[in-house]
This record gives sequence, C-alpha cells and structure tokens, in this order.
Amino acid sequence: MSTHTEKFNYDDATVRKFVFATAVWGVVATLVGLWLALMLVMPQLNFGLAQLSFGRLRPLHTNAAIFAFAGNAIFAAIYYSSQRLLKTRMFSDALSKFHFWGWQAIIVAAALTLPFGITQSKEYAELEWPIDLAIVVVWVAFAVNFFGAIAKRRERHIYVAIWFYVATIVTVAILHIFNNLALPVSLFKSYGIYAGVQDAFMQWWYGHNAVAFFLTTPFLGLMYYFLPKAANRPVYSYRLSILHFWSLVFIYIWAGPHHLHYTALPEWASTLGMLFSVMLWMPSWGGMINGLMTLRGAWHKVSEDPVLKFFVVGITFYGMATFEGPLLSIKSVNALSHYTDWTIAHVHSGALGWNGFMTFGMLYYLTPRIFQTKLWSKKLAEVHFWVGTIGILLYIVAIYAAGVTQGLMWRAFDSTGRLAYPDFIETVVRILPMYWVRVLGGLLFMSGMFMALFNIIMTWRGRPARYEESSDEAAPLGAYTGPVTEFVLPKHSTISDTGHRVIYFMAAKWHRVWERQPLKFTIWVAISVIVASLFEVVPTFLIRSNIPTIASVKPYTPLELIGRDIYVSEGCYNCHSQMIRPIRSETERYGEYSKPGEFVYDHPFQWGSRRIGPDLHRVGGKYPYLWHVRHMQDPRSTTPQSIMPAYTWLFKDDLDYASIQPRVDAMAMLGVPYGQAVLHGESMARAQAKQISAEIVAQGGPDQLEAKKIIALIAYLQRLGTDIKKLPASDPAAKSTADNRGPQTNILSNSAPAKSATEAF
Amino acid sequence: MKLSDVMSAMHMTIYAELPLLIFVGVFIGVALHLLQGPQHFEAMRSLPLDEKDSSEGRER
Repeated sequence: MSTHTEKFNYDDATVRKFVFATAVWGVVATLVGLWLALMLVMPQLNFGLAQLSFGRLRPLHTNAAIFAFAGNAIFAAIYYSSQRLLKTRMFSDALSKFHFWGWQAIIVAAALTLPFGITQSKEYAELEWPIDLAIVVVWVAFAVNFFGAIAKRRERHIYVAIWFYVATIVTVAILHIFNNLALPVSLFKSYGIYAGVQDAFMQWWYGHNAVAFFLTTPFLGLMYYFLPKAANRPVYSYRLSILHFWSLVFIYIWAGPHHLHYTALPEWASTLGMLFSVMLWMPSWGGMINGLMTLRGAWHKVSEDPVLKFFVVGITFYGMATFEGPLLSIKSVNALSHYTDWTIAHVHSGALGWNGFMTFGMLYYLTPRIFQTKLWSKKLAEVHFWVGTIGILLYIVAIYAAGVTQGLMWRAFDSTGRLAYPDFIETVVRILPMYWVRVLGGLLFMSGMFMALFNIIMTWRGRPARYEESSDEAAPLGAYTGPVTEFVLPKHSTISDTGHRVIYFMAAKWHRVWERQPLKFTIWVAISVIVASLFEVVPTFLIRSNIPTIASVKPYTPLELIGRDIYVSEGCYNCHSQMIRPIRSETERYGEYSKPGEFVYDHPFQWGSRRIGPDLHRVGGKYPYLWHVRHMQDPRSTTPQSIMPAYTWLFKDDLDYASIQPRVDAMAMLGVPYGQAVLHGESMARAQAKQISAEIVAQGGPDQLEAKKIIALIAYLQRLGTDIKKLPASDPAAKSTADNRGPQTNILSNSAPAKSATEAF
Repeated sequence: MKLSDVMSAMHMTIYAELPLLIFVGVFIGVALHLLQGPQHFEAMRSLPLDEKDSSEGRER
C-alpha cells in the first residue's frame, strides 16, 4: 500500500449550484401545489386559461416536486458526500457542469411543455419523447461522472451511502428507458409502445420504483452520510445497513402492481405485488431504525440543532410512510383507499415529511459549509422546522380524513340495498372543508420553503470574497495488499468446489470483496433489479389468459382517437379514472366492471389513480351530446356544486384535422388494426364530426362546433366503455334484442355515428 | 412451441413462489454474512467521520 499521500480539492461549486436549485425549485413546486389545492375549492382560479387548469398543472407540480426539488437535492447530496467518501474530486468538472445545466434545462422544458398539454399522461413520466431523450443524455453524463469518481477514488471500500447512490443511478436508468419506449408522431406527440393492461403494468412498475429509487434510496444514502456527520456519531449498525440495502433493492421492484389492485391487471400479478409490498415493511424499517439509533448518545443535541430536528422528523415520517405503504397494499385496505385522497395523504407524508425534511436538514447542514460562513439565522431555521411540521400535520390529517370519508361514502349502501350517496358530487361536497385545511397546511409548508430560500440567500450574501478550496489528503489506491478474501479452492481438499464455495459464503467475505470492487457491486445491483423485474414483466406480456380478447372491441375512430389525445392533453386522468373495479359499490354506481380486453387499443392507458370526479369508463352514451357540450362549457350548469373547471378553450380552439392521419398511421404501426382509416383518417373524422355536430344542433345546442376540439373530445367520451355493449354483428337475433333494450336508447342514439365509423375497421 | 405457450401452460403460483424462494435464500445468506467480521463493520460505520476535509469547521 502507498505510504505517500496526495492533496486534492473538492468541487463544491457544483454543490452550491445544486443547493440553490433545490431551494428555488422547492418554492416553485410548493407554490404550484398550493395553487392546485386552491383550485380544488375555487375552480375559477384558472381564470379560463387552459395553461392554468388543474389537469395540466398537476403534472407540473409532481414533476417539480420530484425531479426539480428532490432531484436537485439528491444531486447536491451525491456531489458533496461522494467526493468526501471516495476521497476524490468528481471525475470531470465539465460533466458536473453539463449535468447541472442539463438537468435545469430539462426542468424548464417540463415547465414549458406540461401547461401546454404536451404530455404522455403517464404519472411522473409525463414528459414527451425529446425531453425523455435529453434525460437519458444527462443521466448518462451523471453516471459517467459518478462512476468515474469511484474509479479514481482513494478510499478502498465504498461506504453504504455510495451503494444507495449506485442503486439509484442504475435502476432509474432502467425504469426510465423501459417505461418511456414510444413511437413519435410529431415533435410533441408520441404513443407509448405498450397498450392497456401492459401499459398500466409498466407504468406502475416505473411509478412505484420511481418512488423507490428516486425518493427513497438516494435519500437513504443522504441519511447515511449527513446524519452521522451532523450528530458526530457513527452509523448505528453497518450490518443492518447491508441487510436492509439488499432486501430493499430486491423487494422494492416487485411491489408496483399494488397500485392496480382490483383493476384489469391479472390477479396473480396483483397478489405478487401485495406480497412483496408487505415484505417491504421490514427493510424499510431497518433503515429507519438504523437512522434513529445513530442518534444514540446524541439525542441531547436534537433540541439545539435544527439540522438534527429535520433529520429526526424526516426519518420518523419515513417510518410512518413505509408502514402505511404495505398496509395500503393489502387488497382489502386498498379496496377502500384506492382512488381516494388517502393515497394523496400517504404520498404527501412521504414527500413532505421524508423527502422534504431530509432535504431541509441537508440544506441547513451544507449551507454554512459550502458558503464558508455562519448560517444567517439559526432561529429562522428553527421557525421553519416548526412551521413546516405543523403544515405537514394539518395537510395530512385533513386529507386522511377526506380520503377515508370518500372511500366510506362511495361504498355506503342504505337499508334498501341501494347506494347511500348515488350522486358522486355528494361525496365531493362533504370533503371540501378538509380541502380548505389542506390549503392552510400547504401554505405553512410553502412558507417554510420561502424561509429556507431566504436563509440560504442571506447566508450566501455573507460569503467570503473568495472561497477557499475544500481540500483533503489521502494515499492513492495501490494494488490491494490486505487479507485475501477471494475464493480459492484449497489444494488436496476432500471437499468439493461447491462445498468450499458454501463455506466461503458462510464465512461471509463476499460482501467485503464487493465493497472494494464497485463494478461487481453495481452488476449485482443491476442483476437484482432486472431479475426481479423480469419475473413480473415476462409473464405479464406472455401469458395469453392475462388479456382475454373481446370480439366487439374495435379501435377508436380517427375522430375519437384525436379526441382521446385531447383528453390526454388536458390531463383528465388526473381527476377521473377509467377503471371500474369488480366491487359492488362500483358496478352499482358506474356499470359493468372493466375488462382487460377493453383496453387493447389504449396507447396510453387512462385508468387514472384518483377520483376527484367520477369514473368515466362507462360514460359513453350515458348522456346526450348536448349534456357534454353544456358540461364542458360550464360544469356547474349540469352539476351545480361541481369543482371541475370550465373547458371554454375547447370551444374556441380549432381541431387540427391535418394531424389526424399521422396519428392513425402511428397507431397502425403499433399494431392497431386500422383498416381503411390508414388511408382516409381525416375524411372519416370530418364525416363523424359533421354527424355529431348536426345531432348537437338537433338537440338544441350551438352550431359551428364541427371544426372545434370539443367535438372530438365528445366523440371520444361517447365511445368510452360502449364496445362490450355491442354484440357481434353475426348474431342478428342478439343484435335485435340489444336494439330493443330500453335503458340503452341513448347509447344507441348517441353512438350511432361512432358505430358506423367503427364498423369501417 | 413459443415461449408464450410455455409461460401460459405453467401454474400461476410459480411466479410468486419462485421469487419468494430466491428472496429467502438471499436473505439468509446476507444474514449469515452479517454474523461475521465485526472489526470490518466497526471500521466501516465510522467512515464519514474519518474525513480530514478542510471545509469542516470552516463555518461558524
């Protein structure tokens, strides 16, 4: 081993930039969140502007919170701690700069596209394909910089925080690529290659693991570095960190299907997701226990140090959220909680409590060190802590109450066996007071964000005229000369090779070897994630019985297709599901439960994850065309207490008929059997629009809608969930019976144009 | 015969049982490993505190 030491500098300039970006984007994310919370009680706050509507802004809020606020926090943590744990500067200053500015450009691109309805509509993966490609490029630059730093490190063993960063970088890359595989139609429009059930599965494989590997593993890495530093105590148990790291990496990846209980997802996948979700509780609590127990002997410091206060509450929220997560994954609990605000409360206890407070703890730890001066106001940081804590509690308690209220009201039956609250709006009105409490909680949390930003800016203003370089000293790594722990088969041994391997494994030297062989370590992390993923992905795609085909389900007509794209663009899925679960209260309220075979042409799926408004899967034909016109123009004209915004711009904006043909062509390329629509998409759409428009006029509605976006959206809504009501054309007797069914008069009347167009396939 | 034929013919429970067995095996292996080598773990858990970073103590 080398005896001479080398002096080297750390790159704190990049850390400073990420710290600023974290605070600034944190303000933006919470501001947009507060605005959205206000719009739920005052829907007119979008001022009639499409760009400010709830459906378009909600993805901006989630993306800003996850990728801008938490993302920049992660990078600040990784750049600061990795250099010090690896005893080296980052691999390349140029890559660090590219990473920082590239990531900010991606966030700005998200902020510029999402309000304009440019979205893939997959939660937390809404960004369109050019931005997705940019993410790949920036992520690769980050990975090269990070692994390059590992390669030139001066510390032989890689510390537990680095393992979590490795898991993050590898897994996020896998998730991002496979969930975002799409066929571009234009610069701002693409169709995902998966459809229906498979798309839903892939999305929640991604969505759940985005939480796991973007909002959990890097923050655990952050905890394992910054908490011991702030408390000046070693990690409680290194053994526990190994145990919970590998358990977490292996188990987390399976749990995604719990987001799809009782949907059209195959039951085996749903059960598997539940099983692994429940198991996930233990490794998650391993992390929490390791964090809190690290403070053994240092609890007295917590009362004096805002950094430790934030960490303690952050880790406690992690424990709460990771207990609640497995609980919510149990099917019977999920039957009550799914689509309600309970999920929103759960998400926010994790995001605000765990991610938010761990970030604030780190920011207050880093700020004086990277700006090389005292924190401007420790008192303000203390105030931030209390304001933030009260804000979170107000927010989540109110929304938990709202969620449970919703769930119970949706499933309540009266003594005669009918729904106790048949009008969905009754369940909305009941929780509005809780929405106001949420506004107050959000306001407090956002105020804390402003305090943090202000404190950071004021500390920065007190920086020295010139920063001193942060330097360190360590011996370069030579060839390993420690005890040999690699497996070597002893000569003349009577035990077999396998037997020796078992002994070697039991003697447990393998992990120590991996800790000094990061490439091997990374490969094992990748194998864990990929193997676990394949166990679910491959059967989902290959087992035919997963998605029984339904002969009457046909592709959307060209007009319905572009109408669907408008539905996607407006973010309707943020408030409305398209998935009726096989639960009596749902079939009573919405109609026949949703079948896997009904979604085979849905690129992307639109099942949604939340019901601020009612499910729409069987809305087709439920109301006349004119009802939809009135409802979209002014929701309160049809439902007086509705909190849905008016979509007046859909009556003004022209429908882009010229873009229909490329959309149809792209769908055909994805395997949708479009028949002659591939040649005549636009003319077919115009013909259907003309028919619907004429019917609206006949019903006493406005004229001149034929060329407007609203006509396509209505065409799509009227088609929703109607295919399974159509019996095969080859059975005239059955068809005749269907035509004579009284309650379906509207369906047949309204869907007549759509039906004739559909038959062209 | 296609892969989808094979997958479709298999009993569904195998997709849950096999990964559970793999997990339990890995878990036992990791747990056994952790019973060994206390000195190494002692040294590793203090790694963040071993720094001689010049920025430490520069604040205040």
